Amino acid sequence: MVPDKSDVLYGSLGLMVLKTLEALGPLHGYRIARRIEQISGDQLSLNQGTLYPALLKLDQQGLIAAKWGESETGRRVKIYSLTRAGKKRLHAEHQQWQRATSIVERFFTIADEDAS
Amino acid sequence: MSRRDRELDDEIQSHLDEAIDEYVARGMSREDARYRALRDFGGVTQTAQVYRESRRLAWLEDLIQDLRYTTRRLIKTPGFTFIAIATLALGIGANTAIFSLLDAVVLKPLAVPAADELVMFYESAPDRKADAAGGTGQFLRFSYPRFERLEKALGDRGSIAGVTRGTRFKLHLPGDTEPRYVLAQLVTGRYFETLGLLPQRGRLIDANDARVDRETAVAVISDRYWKRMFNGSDDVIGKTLTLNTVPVTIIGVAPPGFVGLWSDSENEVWVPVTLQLALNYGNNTSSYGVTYDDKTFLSQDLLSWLNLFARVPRAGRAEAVAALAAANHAGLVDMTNAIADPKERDSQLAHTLVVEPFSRGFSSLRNRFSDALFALTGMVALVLLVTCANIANLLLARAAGNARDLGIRISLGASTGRLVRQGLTESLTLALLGGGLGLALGEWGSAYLARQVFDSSAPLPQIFQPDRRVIVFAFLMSIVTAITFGLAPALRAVRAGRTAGLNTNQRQSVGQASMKGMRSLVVGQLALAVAVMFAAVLLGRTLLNFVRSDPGFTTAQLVTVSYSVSDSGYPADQMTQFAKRMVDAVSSLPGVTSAAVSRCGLVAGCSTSGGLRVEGGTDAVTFFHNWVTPDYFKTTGIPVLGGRAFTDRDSKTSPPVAIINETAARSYFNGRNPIGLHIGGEKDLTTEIVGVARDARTQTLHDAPVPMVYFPADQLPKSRYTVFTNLDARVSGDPAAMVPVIREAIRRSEPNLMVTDVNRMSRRIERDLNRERLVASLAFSFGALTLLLASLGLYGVLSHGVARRTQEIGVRMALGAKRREVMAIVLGQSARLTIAGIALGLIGAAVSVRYLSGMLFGVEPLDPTTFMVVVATFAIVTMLAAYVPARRATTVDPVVALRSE
Repeated sequence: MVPDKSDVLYGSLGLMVLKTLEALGPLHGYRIARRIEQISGDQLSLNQGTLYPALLKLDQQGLIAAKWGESETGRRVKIYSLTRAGKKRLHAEHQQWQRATSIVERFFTIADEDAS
Repeated sequence: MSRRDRELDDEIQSHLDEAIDEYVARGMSREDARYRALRDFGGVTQTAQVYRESRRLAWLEDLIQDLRYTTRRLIKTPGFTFIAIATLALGIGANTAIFSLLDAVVLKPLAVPAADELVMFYESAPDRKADAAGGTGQFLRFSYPRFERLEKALGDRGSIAGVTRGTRFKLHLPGDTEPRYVLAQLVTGRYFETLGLLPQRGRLIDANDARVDRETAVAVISDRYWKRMFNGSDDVIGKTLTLNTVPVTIIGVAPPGFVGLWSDSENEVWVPVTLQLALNYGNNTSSYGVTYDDKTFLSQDLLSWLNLFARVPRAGRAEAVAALAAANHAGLVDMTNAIADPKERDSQLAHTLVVEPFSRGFSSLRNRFSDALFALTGMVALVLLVTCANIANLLLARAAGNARDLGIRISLGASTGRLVRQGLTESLTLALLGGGLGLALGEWGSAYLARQVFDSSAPLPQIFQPDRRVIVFAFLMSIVTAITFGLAPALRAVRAGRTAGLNTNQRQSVGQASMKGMRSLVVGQLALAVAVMFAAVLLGRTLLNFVRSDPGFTTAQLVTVSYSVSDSGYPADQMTQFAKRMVDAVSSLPGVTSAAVSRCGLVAGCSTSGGLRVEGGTDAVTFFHNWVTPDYFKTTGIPVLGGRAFTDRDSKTSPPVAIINETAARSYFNGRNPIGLHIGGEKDLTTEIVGVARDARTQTLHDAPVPMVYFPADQLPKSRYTVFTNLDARVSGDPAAMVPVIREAIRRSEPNLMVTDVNRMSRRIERDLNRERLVASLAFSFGALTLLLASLGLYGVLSHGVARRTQEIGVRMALGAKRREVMAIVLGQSARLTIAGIALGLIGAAVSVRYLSGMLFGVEPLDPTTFMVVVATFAIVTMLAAYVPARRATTVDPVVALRSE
């Protein structure tokens, strides 16, 4: 069974949004969606619509803030930026993520050594 | 479509437009670009739907999460939860009980539409100066001619009406064996119209029913009376009620909930004022020396007997009031032409008409209890503050332990608002649980208190039914309470959590911050408790002073009987014979030493006063009058100090005589011996003073003795409105046992007499002091409760401190500190907190106690003994609270203490 594309993403989508905002500063929805697609290349292509509920959730948790502004093309768009709480959360999650991956990584390394 | 929905649509549209632009820039056709953009987006409507749902669900999810978290925490600490809810229930319950009493007695508006348009009138003496006889300087009753004048002056700017006080009438119903009584009021024609009431059945009394050229014998009955006496049946209209001997036809039923303008004595029947003469109505009247026996009150300008009120819309009120004031003054000028005494005339002419809001109607309970209830409201609010402080303290103690947990959550990015909200959810849950219990407790308590306030065997008036207002009050109280005790600890917890972070070493400093908060809370609690206790001691001593005060008559072994002669159909010219029969019937009973009949009883709410001239004086002076049978002084124990008491020889035909009291002798005779001098009216200065009796508090224990004159019962003027109302009997045995015996003896002698009360005098005095008793006992309960809570708070802080300082104490003991010294550390800390609390509390008490000064008797507000009693009580109780933690500190084992951590 092939899982729905958005399902694969859902858990980490919030994290990706936070990281994107940290790296590039305040952005509007379309730019965020494009950036995530670009970074992940062809491996992850998301239904751009699913981004909006995720943004709402982050907003409600106080991790990002939104205000109306103008895009480079002069359109009225909502611009999202990272809050202090969002920055903290991003770092905490990043550390956890690294710890988890390093453990798994080490596990694979040891397994490789055993095999050799 | 909401603003937020529109915004989402805008945002999605911008997104799609941006995408289309990009595809077009890459060389696609507009059509294709649009198709690709929509495909990338993946369902616009669906997205909007999901978005909307998650927006709506978010707060609900948060709430559920918070509630779950709260429940888990509360279940995990059952001791804390129980104590918090129990103290809150007590605090909110006490507030609810007092509020529902305050609401019933003081705040509730009349059950009529737009009650705020109603005004009432009274005449005021200049500067509201009280008169010599202790009157209030406010004259609430008007004559019928004056009413007509005011009605004309008001014109169509409003509607004015008059009403008499309720009077009990003997009621004859077919088939009755026992006499029945009904409470009725006489009303002017536009009474119901002015109140804006519509009939529930039939019709209400209107202007036509009260035309002065005839007597229209109709009646409107109250909803309660209709249901009680007629089972709410429809065919009540047209039935006849016989009041005394006057048959009246029931024409309608008043709307439910309406009980007249005196909400504390519910009226049952309304009849037109034109029936005054037929019904023999003469209660609550004041006159200027006119005899009015056989003429209707309606034409008497010198006779005031109607309470007036009006409905005047706010818009034209000022103008209407000016017109009424002018008309009233014109009325005064006309009236005073008939008064001979120039002084009296001038004093009457100086009266001015005062108009006051009347949305709440009249209430004698309100006059008596409103100060007391406001004072109690203040005290009970302090109780709740102390309760809040206690729970805030518990929360702080817990927050200190929770700092690490919160620190982790903050470092994971939980926002401050979210965490405070979580803290407040917990507080609100506690407060609402406590408030719910408190409401139940409060309703139970208020029913009990209502009985104390409404000290009568009559059924409790409707106003005492707790209604929605009380529920709303308890609910709001809970929310305010939750914020009061919950917000600061929640904020502090979050702040503490932020500093704590994941760093365990900082726990110490966090604990210190909490300790500081807890200590200030305890000082605050102690201060509030001191203030409440101070008030309680003052009020308690007031009650004691009243109980111990000498009323001037002997209250023990005295039985007293109230009755209504005029409502029993006794002719006024048979009063002499009636008094003789009553005295004989009772004094011949075994166990009765002596008996006396009087115009007014002691502490019975009856008084007759009037002006009399004194031999050698120029102006008339005010006396309170009483007519008594010869054994009155012997029976009541009021000693005759000089001259003689009355005897059987002081009769209708013998020369008129009188006995005055000490106050009258002192005030009106310029140091002359009054015995042998004469008093009387303008032309007949012929009544000889034969004795001087000791002063007695005849009206109420609350007032100083007034100038009194006693006349022999046989010399009672022949008037159907000046009749006997009381009998006193001195008994040799148990007075309680004599009550039924005396009641039966009177029933046998006077089967038609309407006896309203047979009781021990001590019971009547208890009733006279019911306000003092209620206030003192409640104040003491509140004082004890606050003291208990404050001591618990102190105990908590000290125990917490000992637990935190275990290590330090261990070191000290290892270095050779004695147990006594260790104990002194803890007791010293307790003493510092207590002294700070007491000092603050005494300052608070000194500032606020002046609000009580009107309710005190025989004790100064800033009474030093009270200061000492309060300080001693607090010193002892706080010592006890400190002793346990101090003991615990001495049992610290240095080895164990040093090894821990």
